[in-house]
Amino acid sequence: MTAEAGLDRPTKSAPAVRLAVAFGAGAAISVALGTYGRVHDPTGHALFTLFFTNTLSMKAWLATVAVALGIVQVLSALWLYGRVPWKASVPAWLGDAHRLTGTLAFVFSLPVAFHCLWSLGFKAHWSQSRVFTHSLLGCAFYGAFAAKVIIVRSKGLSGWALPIAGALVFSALVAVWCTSSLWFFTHVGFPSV
Amino acid sequence: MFTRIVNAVEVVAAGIAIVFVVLLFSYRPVKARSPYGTTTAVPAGAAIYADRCATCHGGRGQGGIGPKVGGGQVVARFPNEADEIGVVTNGEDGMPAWGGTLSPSEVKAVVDFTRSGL
Repeated sequence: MTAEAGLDRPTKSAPAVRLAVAFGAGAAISVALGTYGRVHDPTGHALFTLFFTNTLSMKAWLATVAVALGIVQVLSALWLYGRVPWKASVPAWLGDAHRLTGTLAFVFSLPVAFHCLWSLGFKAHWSQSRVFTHSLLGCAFYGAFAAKVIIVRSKGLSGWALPIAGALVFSALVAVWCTSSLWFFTHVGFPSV
Repeated sequence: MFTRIVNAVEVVAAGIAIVFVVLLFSYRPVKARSPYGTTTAVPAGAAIYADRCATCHGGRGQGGIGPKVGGGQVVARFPNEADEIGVVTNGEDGMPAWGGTLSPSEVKAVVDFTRSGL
């Protein structure tokens, strides 16, 4: 009995270690982004604006697309976990569709994050609570995203790990959007391309 | 087939992320040349304005994402120059704080430019 328990211990602790590695890596990425934004001299420039009239419009709309894709992520995840109110079988393509929307949301967020960090930097002024909160959440989002990717690729983790990681990513994304795009639409104008 | 497409999109996404990370560390924009040169206080302010402020407030201070600052607008809003310096240094709700980026003399120069050069 004791020997069996001893043999079980390494296999039981391994998932916890992998989980710690995932969240540790996510935290490291968040800190790295924040540190870059803090020590980097903001350029105040736009590298590109695509077909938008200015950088802020581009960022506001791309972030909005990312949030919309994030909502699709949540709905498809609920479907995959059988948590939708209707009794529907899970189609074979749903898992891939879930991955695709998550990947696209990440891609749409990249130009936004790049211009935040490269052009404006990390703003840690208490007098600017919205900007400070946005800076923190932006860094947290990519940390949570990295943790989720590692958890997705890890086998044998607790069943709650992936939903928690996904919820953290989505919550951070929505909070980032509320402190930036929503502010932009309510203070500058909507629609503003 | 769909799985292969998603796999390919993930690879492309990872590549795009790497490109942006490389750009963060490697790319610096070419400084915009000011028609005023950089030898006196106001011309230096003009160069700083063109480099840091024009994106939001417009090249001639006509406004855009940020409010109009040209044509005496900023003097009307901030009769006391120190108040404008405070906003440029510490930021306001939608405007970033430049105190950590520009020196006090640079802030003063760009504020002087918005008050008399635009």
